[in-house]
Amino acid sequence: MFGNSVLVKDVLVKRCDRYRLSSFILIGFAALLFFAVLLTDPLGIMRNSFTLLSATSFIGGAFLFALGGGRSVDARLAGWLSMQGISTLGHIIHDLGGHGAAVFLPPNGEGGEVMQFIPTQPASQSFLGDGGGFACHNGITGTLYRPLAGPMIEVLKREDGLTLPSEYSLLMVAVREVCEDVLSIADRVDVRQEGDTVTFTLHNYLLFPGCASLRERPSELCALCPCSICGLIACMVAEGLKCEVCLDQVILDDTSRSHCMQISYILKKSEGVPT
Amino acid sequence: MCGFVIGSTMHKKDIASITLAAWMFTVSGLMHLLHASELKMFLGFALVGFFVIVYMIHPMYTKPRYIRDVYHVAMVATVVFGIVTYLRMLELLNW
Repeated sequence: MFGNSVLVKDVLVKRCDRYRLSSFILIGFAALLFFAVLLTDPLGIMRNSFTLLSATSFIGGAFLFALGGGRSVDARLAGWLSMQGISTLGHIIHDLGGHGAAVFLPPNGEGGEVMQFIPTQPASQSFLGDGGGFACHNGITGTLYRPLAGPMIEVLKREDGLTLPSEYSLLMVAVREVCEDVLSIADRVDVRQEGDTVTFTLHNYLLFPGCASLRERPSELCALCPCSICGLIACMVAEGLKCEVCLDQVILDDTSRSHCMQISYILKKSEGVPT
Repeated sequence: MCGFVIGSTMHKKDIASITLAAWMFTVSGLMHLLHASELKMFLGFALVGFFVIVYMIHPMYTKPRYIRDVYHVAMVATVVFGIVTYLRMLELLNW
């Protein structure tokens, strides 16, 4: 099953190469057809059906050429790289007293950035010293970090023109675009909201193998120290809706043909979750 | 091994490619059946389909690298479309 999943992901990663290869074949075919028409019927070239076929191939080839591009990477390697250090980092945070689920806090005003608050157990605070480095949020003491996805969201804004709308439905479109079009980590992203919980389903998730290897270890690590992708979606939601976001659970589904990952977040906002 | 799965998990780039191909084959097929094969007219119809598809697939809140390349192709297509329209208008005026 694992080998099959790797094959599916490899095919997904090589999509860009297929586009370019197909475009070269189509443009070559268009040129051949055009020269064939030019040699056989030079006077009626504008009205020959094969000229239309040649134009069809050329336009299709140009379109595929534009859609392709980008350098491919082995899906397993990408998956493992994305998860590298998550387990160790999670254990360090846990050993330093971190517990529960990390909370993504919205930016404080213009120019601010999303921060990640990790609650700590009261016993560990005396162990770590006089309270230096700790933050207090809603009466809970914890530590405040820049999330792992912080640099990624900056790059997306700077290089890919990402804008985060404040309306819920539009923000979900932006999340879909980032996952499907910009990062190409999933073929399709579904969003479902039930009360304060929002669930994103990433179909044909590219980094599935790396995520699956992490899920063999204690699952609390995912909530305590979300990886770049889970963190990225949480950051986008927190920044867009200006609400606190907490990773609830991650469900991996490798039974269907396209491997899916469901990520559930709990949104906390004083004036209620926008709909 | 099929590269993409026909159905709900198809990527929109795959859907766009297939739609454009289907549109152009339909137009060229109809023109052939109606004995009206004419390159300029075909280019006009095909590029209208191309522009509609580009409009449908372009993301609203991001600008991925591929869409910037598609915009470049669309600019060239606009020039070609303008030339075709201009030539067609000249033909009509002469007629």
